Amino acid sequence: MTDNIPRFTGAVWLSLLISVGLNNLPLSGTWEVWLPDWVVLALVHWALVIRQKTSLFMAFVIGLMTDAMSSSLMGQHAFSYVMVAYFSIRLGLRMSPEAYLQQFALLFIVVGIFMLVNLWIRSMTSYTGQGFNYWAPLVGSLVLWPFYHWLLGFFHSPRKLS
Amino acid sequence: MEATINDIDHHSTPGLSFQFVVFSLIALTLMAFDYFDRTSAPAQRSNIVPAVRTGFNMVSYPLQVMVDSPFKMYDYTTAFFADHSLMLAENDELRRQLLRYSVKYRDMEILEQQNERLRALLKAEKRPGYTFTMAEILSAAENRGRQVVTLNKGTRDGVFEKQVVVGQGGNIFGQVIEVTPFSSNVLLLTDRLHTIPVRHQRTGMKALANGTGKPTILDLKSVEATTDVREGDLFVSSGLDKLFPPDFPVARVLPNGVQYVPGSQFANIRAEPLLNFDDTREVLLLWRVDPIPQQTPVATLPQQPANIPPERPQNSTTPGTLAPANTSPQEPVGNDG
Repeated sequence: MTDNIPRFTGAVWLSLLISVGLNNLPLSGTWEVWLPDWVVLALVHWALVIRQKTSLFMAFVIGLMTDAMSSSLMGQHAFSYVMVAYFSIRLGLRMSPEAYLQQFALLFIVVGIFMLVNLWIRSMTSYTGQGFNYWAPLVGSLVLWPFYHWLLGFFHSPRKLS
Repeated sequence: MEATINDIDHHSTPGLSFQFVVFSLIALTLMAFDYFDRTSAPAQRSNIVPAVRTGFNMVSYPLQVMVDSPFKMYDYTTAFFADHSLMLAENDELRRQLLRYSVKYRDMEILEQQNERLRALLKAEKRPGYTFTMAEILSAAENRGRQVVTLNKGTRDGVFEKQVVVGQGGNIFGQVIEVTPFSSNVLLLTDRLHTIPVRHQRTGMKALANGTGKPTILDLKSVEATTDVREGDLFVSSGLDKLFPPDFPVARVLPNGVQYVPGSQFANIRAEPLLNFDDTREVLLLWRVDPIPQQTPVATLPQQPANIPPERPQNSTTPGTLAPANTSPQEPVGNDG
């Protein structure tokens, strides 16, 4: 279960940066509200696959980048991404990575906490969102998780036992 | 499986909880400082958080360019493979438009000179002119609760904080809130924290247009219930904030947009911005060209008296390539008067 290593140096960083890029695609459309936060999915993926390589520092830095890019309160996404990484590492210890149903449960909890924290901070700073539409990405992340999980599999390989 | 029980498999990395506490505390501190900065007077602000923000903005700029490049490539290739006859027709139409506008522009120049002379006679303040530069939208962060876009122009191109951004057809788009050397973030009219003073075009009545967070709706506040506002009425910027230029179109009242609440002094009015924010890819940055530089401190905002005056003269020279004729009519008039 811990027999995975990154395929190359900086694979984790690269996957996180790609996720930030996906978050910032200049898209428009009504279906856009369903799109998940790709960074959260990537963080959960790495916490499940190689938790030794998932440092909270990474989540923190990526979060600050997101805050700068989206003009949200500085530290808002840093805090929530660190929370995502921490909880998925802690909860990931309690399950085997092959159990897909358990993965969905974990994802539901972690993404739920992430969105709840963000909603809380947003409403504190007086710009709340769009009613029930705000929770659409929660469904979106559950639906797109298997696909993204599989895609991110490119970034790691099983360790060769010598 | 029982034999392989060890630290790696069944416990997280040592110090994980400690790390979590430390990073959470740093993030919470940053948030507290940033929130304090947003809500307090400019004099009391600390400059730590804006510096961090600018730093991370600069780091993420290459990423934004990279994300934008496939979209730009798509635009380029579709333009390249466009139908020849369609292009010719478009070109023809544009040439005709150019001709029409150039004649109109001559006329406007004459009017401008006349206006200057009349103002000089009346000893009224001279009217400010404007110059523009085109900028492209790199990325949008609309799904994070804020209506903010990133432009590909920064302080290197003379962009400054609180600069006005105009979209297609001269409709107001928003204002610059953060600048880095290469890029700038623009707050749209429709952000929940944005308000613009407007004027009813037909009656001249003043109001405030608040963003709602939705790209198609603006809320108009402090409109008395006794005033005459109808569906389809146009609201233009009033210029009372000394930031947005006056008489630029902002919004049109929606069908069934005027609602009267029994017992309330004010009417609820919903209006639709004239710009389609989702489809906008290019915008214009607007520089004010003041005819008399000594009068600039009068027009500055109370928040940043030290920041704006030195930027004006510098800016009036940088974008001058796009609108060279704008300053020329003012000199002979000054000699006449």
